[in-house]
Amino acid sequence: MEDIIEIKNVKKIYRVGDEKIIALDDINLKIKQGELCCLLGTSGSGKSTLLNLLAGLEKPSSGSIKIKGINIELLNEKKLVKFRQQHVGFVFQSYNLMSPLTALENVCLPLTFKGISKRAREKEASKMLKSVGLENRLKHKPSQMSGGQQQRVGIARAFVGDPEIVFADEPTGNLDSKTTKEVMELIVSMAKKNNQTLIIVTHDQNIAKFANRIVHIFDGNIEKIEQLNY
Amino acid sequence: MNSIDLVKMGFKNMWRRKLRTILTVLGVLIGTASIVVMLSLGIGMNESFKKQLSRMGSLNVINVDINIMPHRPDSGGGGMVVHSSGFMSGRSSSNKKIDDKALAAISQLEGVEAVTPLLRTHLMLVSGKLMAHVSLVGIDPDTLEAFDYKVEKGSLIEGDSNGILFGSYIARSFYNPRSRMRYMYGPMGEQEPLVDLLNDRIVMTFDSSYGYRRSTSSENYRRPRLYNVTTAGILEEGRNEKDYSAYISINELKKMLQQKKRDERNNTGRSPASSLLDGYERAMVKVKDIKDVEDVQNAITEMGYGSRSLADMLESMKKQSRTIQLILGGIGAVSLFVAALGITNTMIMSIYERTREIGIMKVLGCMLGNIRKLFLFEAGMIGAFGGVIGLLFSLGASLLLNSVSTGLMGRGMPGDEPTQISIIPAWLAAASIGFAILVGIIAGFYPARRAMKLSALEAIKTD
Repeated sequence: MEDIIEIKNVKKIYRVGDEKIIALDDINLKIKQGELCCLLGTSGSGKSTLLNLLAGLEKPSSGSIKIKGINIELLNEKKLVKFRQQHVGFVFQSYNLMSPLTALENVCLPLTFKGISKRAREKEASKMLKSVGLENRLKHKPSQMSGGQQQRVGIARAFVGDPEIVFADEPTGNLDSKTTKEVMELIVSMAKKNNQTLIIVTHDQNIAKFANRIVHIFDGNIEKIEQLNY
Repeated sequence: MNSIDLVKMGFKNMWRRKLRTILTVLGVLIGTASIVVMLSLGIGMNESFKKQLSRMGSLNVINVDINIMPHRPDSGGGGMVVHSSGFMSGRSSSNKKIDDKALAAISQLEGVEAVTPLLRTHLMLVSGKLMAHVSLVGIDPDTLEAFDYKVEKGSLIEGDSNGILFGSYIARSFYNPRSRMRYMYGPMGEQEPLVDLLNDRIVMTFDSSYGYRRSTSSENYRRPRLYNVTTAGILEEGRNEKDYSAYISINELKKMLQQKKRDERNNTGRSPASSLLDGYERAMVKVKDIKDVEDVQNAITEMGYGSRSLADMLESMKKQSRTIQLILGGIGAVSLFVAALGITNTMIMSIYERTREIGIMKVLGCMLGNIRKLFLFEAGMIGAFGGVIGLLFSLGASLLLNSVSTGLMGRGMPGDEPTQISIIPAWLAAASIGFAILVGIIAGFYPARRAMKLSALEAIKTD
């Protein structure tokens, strides 16, 4: 398997007034295509910062991030949006669904931005919603659904259009333990089905167990990497 | 993102905040309507000026008149000041008479198409028992066409013939002095003329007491002679002074006046004071292009002659109405400006509300240009709605104003179209909608930029 993500000497420093806060000190990491990788760390460890850098939402202070051979820290914002549009899916902790849109329309959204026709994208999106078990919730608005259902819509939205990489930022942070398990199983199975690379950010040991590899992050550095195989 | 989706999303967003959208549209509506109505009043005013003036005559014609002080049309009240020295000092006014040399000089001026002297005298027309007082104007027959004389029947005066051209109302001004009914003819235009000018036998005379018994008649007294009238044609109705005048070749008229002078000398034994033949009191100058009227008029002023043209009257009227239009339009513009601020405000509010949404859109791969387009579209649509509804509103208001004003002022002359005080031409309608959209887009520009620049990370941060 080739490396889809290559992080080299990445450093991220925030300036708050005169004070420098080192969020990421010196990160080196390679993630393979189809790998389920978990970034595990306590709050403030820098794991979310790393995710933001990988998604191109922020730029590293130094170092380089190569995704699919492209140095994303060099891309301008316009190209980054294009890059996300083509290669990346997102699952958020607070779902971040568009409240005025139905489940179907929410899942359609990434395809809409790609400029895919209404018929094609609705077909694709309803297939996706079916595979997360929400085939009878297509016309529901987010406010008419439970947290678990909303997150499943979020997952369908992240996986629609087959992105190579899916980022999940505390995907179960707002869910109870039973739903957490269901949702995690769903994410993992969907990623595995299409050999997609999944990067999960969490502070929860139990969630980390769903991954192939756990990257422990502590104080802006990689503390250890745990290889799990199953 | 294709444009259909963009438009749909825009409308959906506007529909989500209906009340605010409607209120903002209302602002634009009021702004547009006030500009359009104000401008339409100005345009209506201009049009009615033009209509009034065209009733008075052609805009290309300059009247040279020795009773007008030479002045520059651009000084003071334009051509509307008629000097009264003619009254004060009688015929011996210092103003010089217009002679043939001066007319020749005027005709050499650039842009001048035709020049004719005018000689006016009053006489009586007699046809059987019927009579009419008429003002007979001597004119250069070759210039009739240039001065827009058009015949309804017959033809213009040809060459040096002694034909007479009658204004359209003259046939109706005949009356029978012996009839008791003489003053009781009905309104002009409703009664059949008593005389057929083209076919009846008509004579004319300078004797204003023709037909009355003369009490003192000395032996030497020679009655003023009668001239046979050869009618050349009857002019089209023009609703101006042409309708009440008769026209004859100026050379013919001069001959007649010389004859009259001889007769008067014979009757009274002394030369009459009238010096009508030394030169002319009036002349008409036709300018080819209306733009040259001012230059030609200035040149005539340089030559020492007073003159008046409808063009310089129109100019001063236009200047006046332009000022009024500017003030009216300005009032409208202020309200549209306020409306534009309303649009900006609404859009900024909407960005605050939709910060998270915009962030999600960015993360999910919505191109920055699309976000900007979305906001510009929403702002533009608010402008467009306001513009269209505002225009409909002003069309209604214009209709109302016109009907009310017609009711108040009544109609002008019979057969006239009612005066419209508010006119919305097609260009104004189109421009108002275009302008409203433009205002919307300009007002939306800053919010759209701001939405585009919004940090996706800040927006989606879990709080």
